[in-house]
Amino acid sequence: MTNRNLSVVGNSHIRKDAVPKALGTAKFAADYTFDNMLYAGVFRSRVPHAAIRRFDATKALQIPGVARVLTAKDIPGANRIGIIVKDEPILVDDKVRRVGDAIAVVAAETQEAVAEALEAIEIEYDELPPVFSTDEAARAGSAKVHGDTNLFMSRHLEFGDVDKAFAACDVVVEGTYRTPAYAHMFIEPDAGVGWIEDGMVTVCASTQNTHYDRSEVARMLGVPNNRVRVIQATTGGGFGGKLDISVQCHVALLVHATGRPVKMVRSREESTEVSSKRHPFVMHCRTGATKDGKLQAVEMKIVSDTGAYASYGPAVITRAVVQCAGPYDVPNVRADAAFYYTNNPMSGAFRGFGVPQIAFCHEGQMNALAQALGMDPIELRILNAQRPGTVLPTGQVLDESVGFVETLEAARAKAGEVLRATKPTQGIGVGCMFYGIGNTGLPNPSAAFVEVTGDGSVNLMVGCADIGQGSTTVMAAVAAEELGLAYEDVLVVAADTMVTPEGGATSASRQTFISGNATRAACRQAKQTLLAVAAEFLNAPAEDLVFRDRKVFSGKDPSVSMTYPELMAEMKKWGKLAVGAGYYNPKTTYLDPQNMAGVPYEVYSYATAIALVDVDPGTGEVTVEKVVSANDVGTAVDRAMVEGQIEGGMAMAQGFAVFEEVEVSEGRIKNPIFSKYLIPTAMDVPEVYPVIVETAGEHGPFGAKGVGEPALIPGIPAYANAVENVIGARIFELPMTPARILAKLHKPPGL
Amino acid sequence: MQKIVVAFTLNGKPVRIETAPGKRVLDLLREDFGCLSVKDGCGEGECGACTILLNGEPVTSCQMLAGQIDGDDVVTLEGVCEDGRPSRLQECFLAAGAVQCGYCIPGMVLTAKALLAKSPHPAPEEIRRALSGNLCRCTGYAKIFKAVRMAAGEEGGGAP
Repeated sequence: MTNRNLSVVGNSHIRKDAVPKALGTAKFAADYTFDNMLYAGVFRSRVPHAAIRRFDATKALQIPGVARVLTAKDIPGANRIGIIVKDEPILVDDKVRRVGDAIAVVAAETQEAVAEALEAIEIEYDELPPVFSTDEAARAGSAKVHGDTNLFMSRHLEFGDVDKAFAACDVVVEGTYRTPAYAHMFIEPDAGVGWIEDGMVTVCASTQNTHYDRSEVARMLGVPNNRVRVIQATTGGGFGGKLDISVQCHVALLVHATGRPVKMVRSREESTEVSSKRHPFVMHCRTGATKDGKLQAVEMKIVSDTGAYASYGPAVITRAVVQCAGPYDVPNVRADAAFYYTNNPMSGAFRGFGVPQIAFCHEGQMNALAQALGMDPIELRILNAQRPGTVLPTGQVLDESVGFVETLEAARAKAGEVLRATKPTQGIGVGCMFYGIGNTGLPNPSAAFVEVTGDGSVNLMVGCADIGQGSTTVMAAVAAEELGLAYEDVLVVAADTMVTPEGGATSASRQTFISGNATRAACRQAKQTLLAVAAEFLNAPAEDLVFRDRKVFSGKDPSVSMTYPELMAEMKKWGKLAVGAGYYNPKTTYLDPQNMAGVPYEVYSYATAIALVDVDPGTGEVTVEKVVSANDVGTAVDRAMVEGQIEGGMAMAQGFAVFEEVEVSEGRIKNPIFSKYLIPTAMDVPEVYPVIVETAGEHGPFGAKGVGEPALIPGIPAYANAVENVIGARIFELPMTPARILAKLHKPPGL
Repeated sequence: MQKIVVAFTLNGKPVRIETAPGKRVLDLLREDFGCLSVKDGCGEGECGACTILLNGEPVTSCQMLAGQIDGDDVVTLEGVCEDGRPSRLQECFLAAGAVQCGYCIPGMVLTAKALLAKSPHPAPEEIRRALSGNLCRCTGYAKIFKAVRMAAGEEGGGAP
């Protein structure tokens, strides 16, 4: 545990955004209306792979109230978008690659006229042979989704001498694991509005990354970045699904063409159909150990369907490979991953970037290994845990900021109090993970601007989008702590490209760490000016001065002090302004493409979940009763919010482990709505016991790391391993539906 | 187009409007009365974001047409707030840390209000059952349950 002496960080605050949300006055994108506003919709393909033979909007344009129908020909600049690889058309110009591809946008005076126009558009396709599986994608002679190969990307990691190590192992466990595509199912469907202000196209949308959105809109319009403004509307959840462009370009194009305000709101079905999905993984894994349980080697092969467009595929494949061996000290590791383009829904970012998938695999392996060795699963993990000094499969040497063993011990202690299997249908399982904070082996900076105004209240401007996880509150706490003010003194303006600097994506659990460090750097710059004035006034050395609780005082003699109002009056007298700009880029290196060697992340979060489940032998139904989850977050900036992440994560993990699965048939999602894609309800969720572990380390602001994705990941393998321990058969496939469990129960144990 | 006149009580005030008979109550409240707390999350009555209180009962307003509320008492979250400030129940949501993205919160508060009106000291299972028609993807419901228990006086304030 830390023994930092902090006054703001580490408490629980009323979130900055909570009051308007509780009052119902927070404005989500669909809540905006303007005079003279047009409504808009998208004409989408209903076939997975085709050239467009004929497109005719004549009848649509004759419908009263229809203002415009725009196609690719109406795009003034670039017609390709994508966070990493620009392979997705804003409007189809060459061929359709998936069901739901955008072909035209329609704007009309009413929503009804939009719907009528979408029905009236005529289209004829020349269908192309579709690619619906990675096997078909890989087959020589298959149709090609992009270019001349469907192999989108492959990655190879090699560390140590894997073959030699396996030959010397006493025990080797092996399995092929499968996870499906999942849907984010944020409760607010994607939406946005746009208008022209001072000649500038302005878009206000539900998003996780305004600065990326701005660059795509600017490229599309062929104008400089600073001639487009993107503002984040209050955003009703994202989980990675609002990292890609949704309505932003379509709205901007219509605003540009009409000069009028435009609103576009996706239906639930449309939102699910065209936003990204979690990459479905097939993982083959071998794990070898000595007879006393020491891990010697891990080998993993991963194949995934990245769908029609790249989206965040490169981030998922790279992270999955570098983290494939889990939070353990493994001296020999090999991983090979291959991602294929298909005509299926686009796979992309979803809370964890491939780690929820690989954690299901490496933790299944650890459970099997514990059984094979007759070892306690926690002891096996403690024996092999990453610790300060451990060398990762990338060659990175861990420093002191590693709290994995602490999470194992804390979770075990809490589980001892609250989890008890009392019936043969009940069982307990363990799941662990580590998670690199930020983008993998890439620069990913964030910036902040700060001003301490004349009365000691603060304006803080950060690009980082709060999508409900609470980054705005975190930034306020960090600024208040650094400046020695109160949480209430800080106003945060977030994610408005005309006001705030670049914040990067709200993804990869990076904002607390990276935008938090940027905020602290900006505050330190402002503080330099404050410090010089205070030192002069107090006649004390600047290095002795402490900023805390709206006061500045000498750490050597607290009676030498001044209040913030006194300090700001001094500042005014001398004509000084307390302003600061700062940015932070995590200390990483690019990875060697031959073997993935390098420093993919500056810092890692750790977590251990221990779950109690019940398996009904008659129906095969899995009930998750209780779960303890201990997360090493470095420093909890806000304890209630960290707990909220863990509680929400354990619920989402239940969905993934037990009942969620996107059903895709012929490239079409069969269950895009809540009545068919079930997410955990208040009746389903387990009792969650969050445990906060705080390790030493000074990488993040006041030692904070990240928790958004780490809060989800360990629950999935914990639930799977608990079920495995009840039924005595290994779980290789998610979700654990009643049918799958019954099939296992009717086989002899061990198969 | 044929129009109908609908008269009902909205947040304590009698209102009257001429509207298309096929208009969803959700759209009527948002577009004609500016009740923007009523959210459209799915349009099929599954997510509960469009919950309103109809004669005190939580219902999904996306599944009702304008003509169906004639003569009824309708309460939206706007009617729960007290002069634009949070009511005690909403204060409990704030103090419990129950709000994350916030999209489900108006429906959650209204459903909780209806529950507490009927059952001032609900058992944990009763809270779960009552809220089971309101989906939340962020919180795992734990702090929402806590907010309801706090409002029922079952759990100390422990205001953060």
